[in-house]
Amino acid sequence: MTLSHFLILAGLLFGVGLTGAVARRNILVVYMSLEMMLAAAMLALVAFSKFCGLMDGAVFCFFVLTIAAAEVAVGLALIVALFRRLKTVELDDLQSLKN
Amino acid sequence: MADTLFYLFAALTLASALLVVVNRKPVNCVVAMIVTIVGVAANLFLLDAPFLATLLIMIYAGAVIVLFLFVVMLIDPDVPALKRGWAGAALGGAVFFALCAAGTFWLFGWSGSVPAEALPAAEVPALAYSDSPTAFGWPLFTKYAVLVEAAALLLLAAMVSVFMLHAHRRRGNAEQKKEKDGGCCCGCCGQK
Repeated sequence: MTLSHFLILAGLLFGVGLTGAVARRNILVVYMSLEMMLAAAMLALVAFSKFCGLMDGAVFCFFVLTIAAAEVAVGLALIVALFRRLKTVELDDLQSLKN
Repeated sequence: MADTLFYLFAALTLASALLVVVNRKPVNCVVAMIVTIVGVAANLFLLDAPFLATLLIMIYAGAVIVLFLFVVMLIDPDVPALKRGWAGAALGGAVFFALCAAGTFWLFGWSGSVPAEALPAAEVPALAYSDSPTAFGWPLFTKYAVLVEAAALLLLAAMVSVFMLHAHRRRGNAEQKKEKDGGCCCGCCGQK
């Protein structure tokens, strides 16, 4: 295992997440794809951290985790409020700011 | 041995990640996402970061994704019929992913672009990479203490904002009810 192995894995995982965020229409799946991209970034951070012999990347990963948790809490609350009002989670149907 | 494990967990992670993107039912996507997170955590174990891997499983797989599961089941979105042009969208997604993958291999797969062997340990011993939770906690409370405070503030802000969203909605409902009934909505004064 070298740094390249982990970076390629992280890059591919990020690519899958990016594809999901761009191509999917269900807002929940788009949100999950964003989480996947964050997980890929965490993997890359820890890989760099280990192969550079420093702890900073792993510690930064902790903050990514915190921010992801806060983001999910607010985002899912917004999605639930949106669904109660509009009865849909399809991004195609969410094109108007009014009503 | 470690190489075999790496390839095994990498295949598991990528396969379940693809399932998340491809699956049409949101519940299946969430379950596949749990497998993805477990795969990433296993890779963190291989990177000598067991504490972080445990955190990932506890917070991500245990709390965040389960929150997703609750929301998916709560709002129970019906799976819409395939719309016209879905094949084009799928093809576009595949091409997009192929571009991402090609870029990744071009950046990191090219030998010499990243150093193959680990660099020597850090000069400050307290910040050297180690698998012990002590090495993880020490910078958190010395070098990054301000960031920890900021993270705490962020979590508080998220909690308050979610609470306010909910409270606002309930107040809106109460006002609607008041308009409909044409009277007081407190339910205790008996006034119509």
